[in-house]
Amino acid sequence: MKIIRAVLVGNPNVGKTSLLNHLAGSNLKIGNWPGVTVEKKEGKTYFQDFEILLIDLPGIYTLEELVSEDEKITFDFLYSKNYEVLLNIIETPRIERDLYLTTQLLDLEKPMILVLNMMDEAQKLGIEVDIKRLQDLLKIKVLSTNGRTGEGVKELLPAIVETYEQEIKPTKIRYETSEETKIKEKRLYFSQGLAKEVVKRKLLTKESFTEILDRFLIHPVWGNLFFLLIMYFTFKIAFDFSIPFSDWIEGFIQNFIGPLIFQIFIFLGAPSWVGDFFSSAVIGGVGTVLVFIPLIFSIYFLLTLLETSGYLPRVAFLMDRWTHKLGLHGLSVFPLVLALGCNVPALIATRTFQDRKDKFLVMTMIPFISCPARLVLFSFFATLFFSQPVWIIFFLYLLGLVFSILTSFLLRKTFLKRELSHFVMDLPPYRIPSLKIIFKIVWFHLQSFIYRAGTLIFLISIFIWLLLNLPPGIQKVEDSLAGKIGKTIGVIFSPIGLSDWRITTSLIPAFLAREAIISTMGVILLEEKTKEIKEIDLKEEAKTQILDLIKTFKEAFYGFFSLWPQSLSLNPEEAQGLKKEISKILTFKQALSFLIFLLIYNSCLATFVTMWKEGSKRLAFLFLGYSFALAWILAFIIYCLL
Amino acid sequence: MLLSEARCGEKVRIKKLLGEEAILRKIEGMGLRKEMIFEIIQRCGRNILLKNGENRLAVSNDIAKKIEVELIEKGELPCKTSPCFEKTTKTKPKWRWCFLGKEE
Repeated sequence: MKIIRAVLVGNPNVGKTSLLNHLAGSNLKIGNWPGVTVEKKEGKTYFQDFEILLIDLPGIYTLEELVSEDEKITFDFLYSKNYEVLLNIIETPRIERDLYLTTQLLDLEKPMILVLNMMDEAQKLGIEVDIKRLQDLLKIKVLSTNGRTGEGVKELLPAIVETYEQEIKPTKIRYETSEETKIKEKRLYFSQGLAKEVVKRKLLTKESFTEILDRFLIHPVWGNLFFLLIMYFTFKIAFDFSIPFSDWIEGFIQNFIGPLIFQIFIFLGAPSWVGDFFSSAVIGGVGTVLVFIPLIFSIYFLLTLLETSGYLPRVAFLMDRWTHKLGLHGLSVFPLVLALGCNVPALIATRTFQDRKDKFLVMTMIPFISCPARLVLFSFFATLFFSQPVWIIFFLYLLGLVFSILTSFLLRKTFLKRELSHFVMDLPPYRIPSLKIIFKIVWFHLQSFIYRAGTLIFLISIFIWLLLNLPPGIQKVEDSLAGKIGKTIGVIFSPIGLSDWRITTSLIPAFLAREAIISTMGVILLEEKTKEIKEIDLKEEAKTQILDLIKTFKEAFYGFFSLWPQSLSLNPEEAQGLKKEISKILTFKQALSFLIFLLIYNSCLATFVTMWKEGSKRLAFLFLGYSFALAWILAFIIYCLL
Repeated sequence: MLLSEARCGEKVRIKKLLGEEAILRKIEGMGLRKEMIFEIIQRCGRNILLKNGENRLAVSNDIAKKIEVELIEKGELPCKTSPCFEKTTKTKPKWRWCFLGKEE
């Protein structure tokens, strides 16, 4: 089978990755802001006798000058790698702008296809493109697509094969000069002439959807207010919608699945350690983490909605007013908002920065922003120890942001001193994202969360369970290896109120994954507990679970539509199962100190490694030490003051 | 005149990009090119928001100082929908609502 390497190239945010996702069935990250793709991505598909390898490159405005790392990736690939076909993606509503890059791509003299994406948007704006004329002028295939719905995307495959087989190369611009300035000028005139020749615009008098929304959303005063409201509702809905489902899953695992499997073990005559392993490592470990699937679902759903709507660039524009006072431009907001979803892609997103000092500065801000793994922890402990968990979670997010800003301020004044860089940004139009695409992205995140629970968390749980049972024949769990390790490192954490070995032991795997704290505590506490085999009436319990689920839907529905957080006031005394056990080993003071330590201390191993890879080894180690010291000092102050 | 001197609501034609810096070439790639007409739709903080058809660009003042423009249309009311703060003098910064109009 022959392989055709087709490269997708175009201006940023023209829908290259969306087209690749449609063609290759992949789930690569998309968004409605320039700079979503910062590294080379690949996907493949088969057509006729060909394997078509689609290569998605970071967006680039011009090949004449490079200002950031992601642009360098595209440039290097186009000029030094092997590929057979170029797919130049054009954002049709802004065809005049995009054709400038096209003229530069013509000079590569490679077989090429021009893809007019977002044709539906162009038609709504009264823009008509004479495709046939464009084909005649450029002497290549020109196709129109809709990256949102996938319309016209399948036609790209026969076009790629035909362009490859017939080596359809575009027309060549005759420059008749070697002077760089004149060449650039000629390119500019060529692209302008081309656009004039093929584009017809109807005069539309009514304001566009983007113009109407922008009146409010980027208004210097109301815009900030809307931003706060949007962030408030994002977290309120995520929390209120998910808490009832999380509670139901917890009850379902503990009251139905657990006893059911125990009964199966008894029926099969399995040895007692099998049941013990199951209750500790599986139910106590992995099961406790899976309870948070609804929270992960809702937070990713809402963040994806924000990322794909086009609102993020507006936030960057608004925030530049404040961030530039700290020596940062508004573009730093992108990685910081991305960090709410996961710190790792946020660190990678700093590749779009032009200056290394700016990049390092934002990299040191990112780990203070809480990701969903930390939200899982906050929500677990906040609902357990605080009667008004929402305010505690809000306080922790805010505290993270404050220390993120303080750190950047400190570094800007010392090691990363430099003059404020300029701000240039393209504001894309607002787009209503397709629900199918949002669910696909959310499903991808959920899959990786479940996968992590089934692999990493499960392995950690097994390891902790083994440590709790070694050396063989121990009478008390605290005499086990896990107990000894926990007691040893307890010396460091004792001043911040965390001397209990069960807590300190759970801090070790937290460096691998934050949610491992809950699974580790689950394993330890269930191991300590006297095992009781609870017999249940399966029919009765199933009926109860179904009735509870109906109640849960009702609660989630009301929670979704209420303006005020429904989960604002909870009764910690109602805690059951693992939560009840944890509430016995921690006090309010200790819990707060614990949460602050986890908030400030470098988020996880993946963040550390990415910081090393994207920044430097020195940066990663220095930040690790800094965040540990800062977390310890803050937790100590909070513990002593309360 | 320079783009940094243009006020909200005004329409300007780009005459020249002053300099050979990489960022200016990038801006050109983003659509801010010679002979193109842009409307200043908002000035806020250190940034200017420009519009040309579907193209909306935000540029900071230091970049705007490197773009020579020609005023082709004055707005009826500068910043009519978007009040924002702007500096009126170089020596003594004085803050006021820019929709109140240019200080004589």
